[in-house]
Amino acid sequence: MVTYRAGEVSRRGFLVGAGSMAALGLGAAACGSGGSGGGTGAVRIGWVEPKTGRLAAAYKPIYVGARLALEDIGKAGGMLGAAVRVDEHDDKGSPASQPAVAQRLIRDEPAFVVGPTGSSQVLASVSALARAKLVQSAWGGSERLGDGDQFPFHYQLVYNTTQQARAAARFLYEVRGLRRIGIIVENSEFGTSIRDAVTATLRDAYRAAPVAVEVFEVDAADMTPFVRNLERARVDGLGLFTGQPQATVLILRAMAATGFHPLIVSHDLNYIKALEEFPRPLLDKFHGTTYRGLTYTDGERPSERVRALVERINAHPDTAGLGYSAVTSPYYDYLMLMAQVVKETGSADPARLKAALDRIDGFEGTRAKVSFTAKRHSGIADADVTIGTLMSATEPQSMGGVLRRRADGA
Amino acid sequence: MIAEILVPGLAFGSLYGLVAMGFNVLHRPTNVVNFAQGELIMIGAMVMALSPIGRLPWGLAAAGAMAIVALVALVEERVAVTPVLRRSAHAAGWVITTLAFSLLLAEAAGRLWDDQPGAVAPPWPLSLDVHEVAGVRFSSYQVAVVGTAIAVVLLLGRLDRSRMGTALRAVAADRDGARLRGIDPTSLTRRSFLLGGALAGFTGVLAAPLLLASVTMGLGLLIKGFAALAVGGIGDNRGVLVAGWLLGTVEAAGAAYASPGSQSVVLFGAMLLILVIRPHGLRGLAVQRHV
Repeated sequence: MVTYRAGEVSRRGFLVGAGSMAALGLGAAACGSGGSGGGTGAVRIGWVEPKTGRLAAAYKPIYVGARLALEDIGKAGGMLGAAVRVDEHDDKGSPASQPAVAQRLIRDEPAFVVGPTGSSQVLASVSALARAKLVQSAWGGSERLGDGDQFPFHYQLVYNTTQQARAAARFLYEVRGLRRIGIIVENSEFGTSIRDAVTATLRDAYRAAPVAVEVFEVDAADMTPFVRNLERARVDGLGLFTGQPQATVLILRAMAATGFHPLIVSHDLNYIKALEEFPRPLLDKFHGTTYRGLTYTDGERPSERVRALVERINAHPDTAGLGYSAVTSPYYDYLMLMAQVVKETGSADPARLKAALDRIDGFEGTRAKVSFTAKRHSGIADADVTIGTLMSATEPQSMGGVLRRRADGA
Repeated sequence: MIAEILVPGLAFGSLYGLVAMGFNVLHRPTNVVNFAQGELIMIGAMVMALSPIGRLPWGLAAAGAMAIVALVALVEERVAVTPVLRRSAHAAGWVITTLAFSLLLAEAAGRLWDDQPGAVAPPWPLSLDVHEVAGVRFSSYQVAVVGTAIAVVLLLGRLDRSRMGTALRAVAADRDGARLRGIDPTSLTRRSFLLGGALAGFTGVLAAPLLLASVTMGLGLLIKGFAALAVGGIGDNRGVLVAGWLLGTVEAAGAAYASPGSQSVVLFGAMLLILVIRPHGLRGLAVQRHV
């Protein structure tokens, strides 16, 4: 019990009073928290994005879709009748930062987490966040990230490396009928996994094997020796997989110099200024994996919803000419999906959100339909992964280089 | 096959040699190995590729890029090197301060530019078009890069024999002793950073047409330049150029002959072998000090 004297407070009384107030506050916090989880007030969203580091500007377009989704959610009245609260954390685009970022996210107690981006960062992040049972979707292509048993709280809204490999191998071998298929990949976890996946697909689906496999270091200065090896092996169809735009341009330069122009299926369909130096016949043979919903043909065009989103992406200042990266990012669809799930469950409790997500069947995303089960957290169907052409980025139907023409037969 | 790897090996090796020469220029008066050298080179390349300066005629653009990088290097000297050396000429605090400066430059670059590479055309009349003579494939620009690296070695040798070079050697040998003889080590350090910065900017300008300019290019060049420095010998510009050529050729051979993904093992294995056999560098110039 605290007694107060009229007109003054004793030092002892002040300390006891302050201690009691603090204890009451802590108690209230302990009883009423659950953060956004089950408590009242704004739904909290954890957000992991590189704000600093040498690739900070490069990641900005990837989060444009998420910012547009926040606008849409806000216009629709927020989540659970209140504006959402976003707690942004800078991971510097580094796997090493993920444990510290995860600690901050766990402390924030968000309803769910957006990001991080990049396979290595994602693997580090989901491992750190799994213990806290926080629902999360990040941009990582590893097949493991869609395994509901291994990562029960991570939901993958991008196609994985195996799906990408299947689409590439099918296009080269089956659609285009090429039999001398080569692979060139960077020496990284991504490169190794997609090389193995393409090789396995060729073996299992077509009883074939690549005639040449080249692996380059990510800082390789000269790609000519690798390209010459592919040429010597008389490769006519090539899987080119790297996360380094610089490496892609250097490989094309080596091809332009040697006159070796195989049909290429790549990982990245961003059309950048540095490609302008290459001969058109080489670029016309450059293709990449993409989402069927983001492609068009002479008789088919993307949905009005996609076209409206593309217009908003193009108008956003963070897009900075990289609209293709922005539109293929999973975060717009993820946030709209979470808004729907929160509305349907009437809760922001992560356990209830997970239970609802595990039953999602055919959610209409902008890029593709999304479906999950408790075991299968890889949400994109194989049928929604297709092949687009690079040079369609210069066509008016691409809406400023954001959409892509679907390759014939894909 | 040998003919195929020789020219690219020499051309890229020349770039590694130039990076190492930049180390030497800064190391001479300070005994500091500048860990920000890779990022200085990156800035030179990015200025050429993605800034309005790069749209000027090549000579002016190159001079502009060199001037900008020289100024950045001067800032580095003021904030990250001189304060450390002022406390103690033999302290190793510069390892952290130059590394921190490197991170600051990377951070600034990350805010200014995205990760898309920028192409830079070689200056007229040079080009990247491939010619073949007696089975050897090369571009005029590759040959020019090799020639330019040799010219830089000769120029630095000339500078070394000048009055400033003598003063630099005196400061390198004994900073306090040189001061007693009327030499101002701080001024020499400043001038060396200006020169080293300009050389880094020039290396970036030269590298951009071959490697493409990108915010990620600095680290790779730093590591390979450091390898050339270790193999060629600190302070020996001819040695580091030869070492650069050797490393460039081994790297090209590794890409052509070694099993996929093992080029780095081949490159650094060769470097280790050379250092075991010639611990003082290729030309074996052991550090001597006259007392």
